[in-house]
Amino acid sequence: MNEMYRLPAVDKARPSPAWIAALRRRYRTEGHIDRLLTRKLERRAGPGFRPLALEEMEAALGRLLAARIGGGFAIRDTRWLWGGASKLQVAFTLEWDRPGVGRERTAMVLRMEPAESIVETSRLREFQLIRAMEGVVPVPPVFWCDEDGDFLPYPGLVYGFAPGVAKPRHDGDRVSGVGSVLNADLRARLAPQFVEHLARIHTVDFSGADLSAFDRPATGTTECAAWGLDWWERVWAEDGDEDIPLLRLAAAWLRRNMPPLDRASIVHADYRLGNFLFTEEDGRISAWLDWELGRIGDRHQDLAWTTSRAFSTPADDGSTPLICSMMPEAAFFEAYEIASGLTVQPKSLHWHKVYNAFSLVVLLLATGYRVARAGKTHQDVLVAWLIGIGYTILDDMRDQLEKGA
Amino acid sequence: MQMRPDVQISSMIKALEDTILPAIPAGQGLAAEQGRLVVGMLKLMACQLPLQFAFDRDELSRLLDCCDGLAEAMAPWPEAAADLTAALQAGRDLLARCQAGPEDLCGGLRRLNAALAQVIDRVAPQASTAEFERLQAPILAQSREQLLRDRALMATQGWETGPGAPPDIALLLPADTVR
Repeated sequence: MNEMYRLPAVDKARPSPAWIAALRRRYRTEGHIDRLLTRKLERRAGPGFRPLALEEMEAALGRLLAARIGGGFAIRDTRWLWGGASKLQVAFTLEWDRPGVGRERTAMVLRMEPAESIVETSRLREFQLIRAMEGVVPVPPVFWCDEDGDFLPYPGLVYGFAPGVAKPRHDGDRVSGVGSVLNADLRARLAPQFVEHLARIHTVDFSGADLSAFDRPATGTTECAAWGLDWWERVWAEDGDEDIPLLRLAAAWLRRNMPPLDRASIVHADYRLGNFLFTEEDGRISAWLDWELGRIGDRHQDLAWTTSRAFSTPADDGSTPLICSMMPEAAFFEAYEIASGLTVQPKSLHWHKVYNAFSLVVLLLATGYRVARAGKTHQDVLVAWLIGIGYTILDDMRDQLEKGA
Repeated sequence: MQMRPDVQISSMIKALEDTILPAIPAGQGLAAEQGRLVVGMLKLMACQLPLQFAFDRDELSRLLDCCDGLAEAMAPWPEAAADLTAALQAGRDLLARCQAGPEDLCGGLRRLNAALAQVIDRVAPQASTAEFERLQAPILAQSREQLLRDRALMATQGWETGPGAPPDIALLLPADTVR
């Protein structure tokens, strides 16, 4: 019998050590993910997010920099950046002696977690993954990481400011670029890069990169799928409030149909319009952002995510869906197979469509509710607002399950 | 349905207190005062909403006691007494129908969803393919109908537009329950 079935009802706002230990035994995730989720639960009964003054952030940043580069620096022009639903960001200029460059004024961004986030991820994994992608695809330079919040109020990392916009300026205010529409000119310029970059990410030899915060799943087995499913099932168990039978059915279906991994790739895990910067004047992708959910895994996770209906917009004919407002799905897969030399396996793609929807529903309906209700973020009202789209995603998942049934 | 006033109201209060009110410039007294009143009103709603049904039921009960007490005094006015008796009977019928409140309904929904979820957790790992298909058919069917309503209830958020958007939620609920 499922061990969770036997566990008594718990107060998830004040999880006991015994319950946390039971969850850790029940769900086998990557080691670093286990560490993160455990830390989240151990801190849950603590205070909610308290507003931070810019001066406080500047002082904390100064402590981090002093520990990392010693003295001889000055922090200037600090200001809050807004956008996204999960992390706090502060832009600043650092005047410092940059190794190999000399005295320089470098535009940087501090990206920091709130007390609990709509998605609990590791700054160290994000740091390592961006480093691993330098020279592979455009990424912002990453400088320093405060993995456990030793200097900053919460864990954070510092990366370089990259030029460009995440969505066309004419497009108004949309959350995280979802639903943004590209005009034909931008589409023609961005789409080939969009495909080429994904192919590069999926085919890069990462064996020499420092990815110590990641576990590498074995090919020819279902380990990769199992780790991913255990990750999100554990988060559901930790954060879920109101049960959803369909979600349990989906978990059971996913467990019964796990695809074997044919090749271990770097997976971005949120590869879509809105998560890269581009320069509008020449339509060049200048930086891929938001690597926080990245893992070593199955390329189909990205392919399924990128082609999700939630990120598509209609073509000029008003009906053909364009994935990420770029191109029809069939054209995207064809171009990807040519660029990567890898095949798109329909069965694995379908499994990952269900898996992605499952993880997104967990994130929106379980963690979103849990953290907003407990006042754990700097923008609880946005996190609560996003609960509303959970039902659309859940219905997409139901649709995918029916197709596979 | 996870989107309910508890999380909606608490997150609005926090946004106002932590972010919006401190950003109002010092000279904008009217905006600051109305902002504080909005916070106060939302806090009142947060307290009031969970109690409102019980509060109204309690008032109905005491109004019925009052009507009972009046009955003897109405003896000189038989027509008015008859009207009062009719109102009293209607009130008693209503009170009888109000014994279960919204919190009972929400609790019942949660318990039934949890029971279904636990049943799936329990039997799915052991089920054959045919058994799993028989298990999932009613869950998928119920979910299709329920999610249509969940999505319709969220329509004003604007997540879904165009031909695939769900219909007006009022059209999806039993006609006698929608005003």
